[in-house]
Amino acid sequence: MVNGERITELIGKVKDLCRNVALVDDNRLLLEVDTEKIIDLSHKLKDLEFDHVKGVTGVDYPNESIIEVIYYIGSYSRTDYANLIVELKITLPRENPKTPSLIKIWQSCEYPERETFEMFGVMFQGHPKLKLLLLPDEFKGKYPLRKEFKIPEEGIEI
Amino acid sequence: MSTEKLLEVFIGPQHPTSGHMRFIAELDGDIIVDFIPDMGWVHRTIEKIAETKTYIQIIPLIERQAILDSANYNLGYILALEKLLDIEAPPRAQYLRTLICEINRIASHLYGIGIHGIMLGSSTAFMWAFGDREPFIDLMQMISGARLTYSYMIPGGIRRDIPHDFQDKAKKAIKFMRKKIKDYFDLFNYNPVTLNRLEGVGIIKKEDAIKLGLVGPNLRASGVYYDVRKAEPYAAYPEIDFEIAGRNEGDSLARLLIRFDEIQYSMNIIERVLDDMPSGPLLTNIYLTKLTGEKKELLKKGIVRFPTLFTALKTKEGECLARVESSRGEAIYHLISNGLLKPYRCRLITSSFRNVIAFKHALIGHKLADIPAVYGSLDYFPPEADR
Amino acid sequence: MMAEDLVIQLINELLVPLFRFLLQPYIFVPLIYPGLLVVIVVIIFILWLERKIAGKVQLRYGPLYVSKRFGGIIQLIADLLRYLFAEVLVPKGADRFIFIFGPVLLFTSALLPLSTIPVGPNYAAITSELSLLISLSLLTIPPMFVLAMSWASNNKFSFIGGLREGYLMMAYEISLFLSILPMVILFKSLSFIEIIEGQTALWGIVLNPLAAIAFFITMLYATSKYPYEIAEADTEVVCGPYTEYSGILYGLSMGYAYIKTYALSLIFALIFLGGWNPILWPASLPPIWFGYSIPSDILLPGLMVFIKALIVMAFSVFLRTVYPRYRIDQAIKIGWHNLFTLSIVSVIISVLIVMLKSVI
Repeated sequence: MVNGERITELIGKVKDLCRNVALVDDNRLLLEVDTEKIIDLSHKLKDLEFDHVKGVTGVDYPNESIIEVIYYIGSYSRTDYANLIVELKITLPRENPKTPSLIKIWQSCEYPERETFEMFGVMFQGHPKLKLLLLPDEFKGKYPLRKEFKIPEEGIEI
Repeated sequence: MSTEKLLEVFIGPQHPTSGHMRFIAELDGDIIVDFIPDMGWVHRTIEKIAETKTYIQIIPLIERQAILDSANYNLGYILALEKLLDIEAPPRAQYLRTLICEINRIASHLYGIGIHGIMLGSSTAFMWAFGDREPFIDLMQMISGARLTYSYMIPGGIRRDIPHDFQDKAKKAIKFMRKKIKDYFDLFNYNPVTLNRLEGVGIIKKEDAIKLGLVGPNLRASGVYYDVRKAEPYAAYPEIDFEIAGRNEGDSLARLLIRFDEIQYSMNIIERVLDDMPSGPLLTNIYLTKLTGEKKELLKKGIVRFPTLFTALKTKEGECLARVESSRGEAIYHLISNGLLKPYRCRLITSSFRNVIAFKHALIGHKLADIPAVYGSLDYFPPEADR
Repeated sequence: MMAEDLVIQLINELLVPLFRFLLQPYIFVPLIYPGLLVVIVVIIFILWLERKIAGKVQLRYGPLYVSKRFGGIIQLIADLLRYLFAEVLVPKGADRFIFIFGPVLLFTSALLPLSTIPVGPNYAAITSELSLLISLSLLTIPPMFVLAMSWASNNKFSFIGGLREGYLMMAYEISLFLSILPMVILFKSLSFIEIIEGQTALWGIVLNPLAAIAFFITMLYATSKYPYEIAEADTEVVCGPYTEYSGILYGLSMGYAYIKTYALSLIFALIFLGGWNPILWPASLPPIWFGYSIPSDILLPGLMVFIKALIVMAFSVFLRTVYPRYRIDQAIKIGWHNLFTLSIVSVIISVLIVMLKSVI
């Protein structure tokens, strides 16, 4: 199947669940979605044989007071989707960000979601073990990858 | 089962084979009933530090997440950056990038094989693998001047041309390694003890590998022939004809052998790259014209000095996702730029971080002594996962 | 008084009684050869040899930098000194008494079987009819102290290591006794000296190679050599029973494994490799001191056995470069299935040989 056709077909199937659909690059499909619909959309994508989550990313925008959470979803089962990465983007308020965990749909997002939790403070509801992963247990301060967190610097900075 | 019957063993971080991490194993007799990988002991906040550095300063930083595999990780970042800058490296630079990535893949796999050997108790495999890494490290030293952290690729090109006697040296190293691989099979891979230890141990079935989202050789050993070099070719891979390794057993032995397969295929790629290497500039034209004076003279010798513009490299506003097949699997880079000197967000998804989930799956029901056998076969590299 | 007189008097009053004392077999055997003194030299030498062999196979040098001209042999003495003077740490939760005395008893009890080894046909500390049986029985004592040490360490890895040691002991002990039985049947004796006298024509290894193989494999089990280096597997249980040990206490426990290798190699040399056979030297060579001919009673037969034992030891340490280690359950299975069957078959072969002999 030609690249364009394949993506148009895919867009047609998921469009009504998304707030915004954009083809970022040749092989990058960005789906912006509301938190209420993310479970439905994920099920739909899973049915389309997007079988694993490559990673979860948070991006902090303090000026707009939002945190974006991006799931990178790919497919091993379908060879024609091999070069495609679907970015599932949800926008959460900076205060008390909450979103349902997708671990029941994609087991592979267990560790990435945990990492996003500890780095950004995003609560993934339904995640079985939302504890610190990379950070030490005695870590003080909150959410290192949020913009207000400053790395203590020492030495000379050029 | 009453919890009193279980023995909780903390393996690591000060354990000969835990690496820079800790495992919490619940044992019922000798059987593992629960296995929790506890990572983060070498977390260096690379993503956070990257937000405070300029784009050029990030290059050496980003290599440090996986020091054994720095060429591949370097390339992923450069690809993302080049997309944001809207430039593309000239063909010769692309071929040289492919070359160093494949040499690095061999060295990295040999490291993994060596560690696997010592985990099983075969000090010979360990010593051989580390010794046989040297010719390839020397090759990379010839190209880039460094043994491990090359910082070889820069936006729009590479830093250096290969020396004129490189081709002979590389072919010699490949010839040596092809001969040597047979020794590994005789002494280590098909050693009856190794077969006993690895065959049928830590099986990850195809559907489980997909479900867990494994990457790299571990995925391909389970029968999913997914390789970013094929799925979404970058650098010189679209022009080169090459195979990817694949096995269907999904056990520790398959994961060990697939690394040998990949070494062989990588050597084929190196040969093809060396044969087909086009001539031409090492840096994209936009930057070449900015080189003046002494730098222009050095360029004739094959040395690329940074144009002054690199100190204040600005990208367009926007974001970009790039991925490469590092030696342990797919690595994804997400760069978000707001048009300033430093990236707004630099997200790295490394292959070991995606493979860590395999521990929980592959070891349940096995014996305590299988932990090193499976750990080594997964070629898990804690600094790469922790970043 | 003249100075010469003083020297003569000194020799007469001090050295002569000292030599007379030392040359008595029940002093010489446990303390000098094959006992303590030679043991220390052997440990140093075999460690050096092990590293050199491994270095050769693994394309590296092995010990080199201390005493470069002699191939780094003094490096091991430096190692030994380090073990000697390193601080001994006793963990908080450990049972102090057993923790400290465990290695000491382990080391000394490992020396016991050596006193049953005859040096030559006329020179042995224990001339019992059952010397072979005694030496093997004494060999089974030290693992008890290993178990005690692992328990006293109060460490989970030590505990697991101790359990492994116990399980392995069960797996090899029966085969150990069964694999000497063929020789006992063949030569109709349980005494070392009589078995060796029976091997003047044909060595035990020729008469019954299966028994020799079975004994050698049990030896690998008993001395935790690769591929059966399981109780101490450092990549699995961090040196097992010895996890918490440091300094001289660790040195003693490490020495124990080598003494055991040495003792079993000596036994292997005696009952399978013909002991001091072939006797290439005339009897009662001078000098004869206190009723013993030093060369032909002690030195030459002792050297013959020693060299054979060293070759066996060198081969057993060479295996480290060939094999990884088995898993504990696989090792136990091999011990009970294959090794046990092998030793039973070797016993049957011996019985057949004896029956054939009586028919002819």
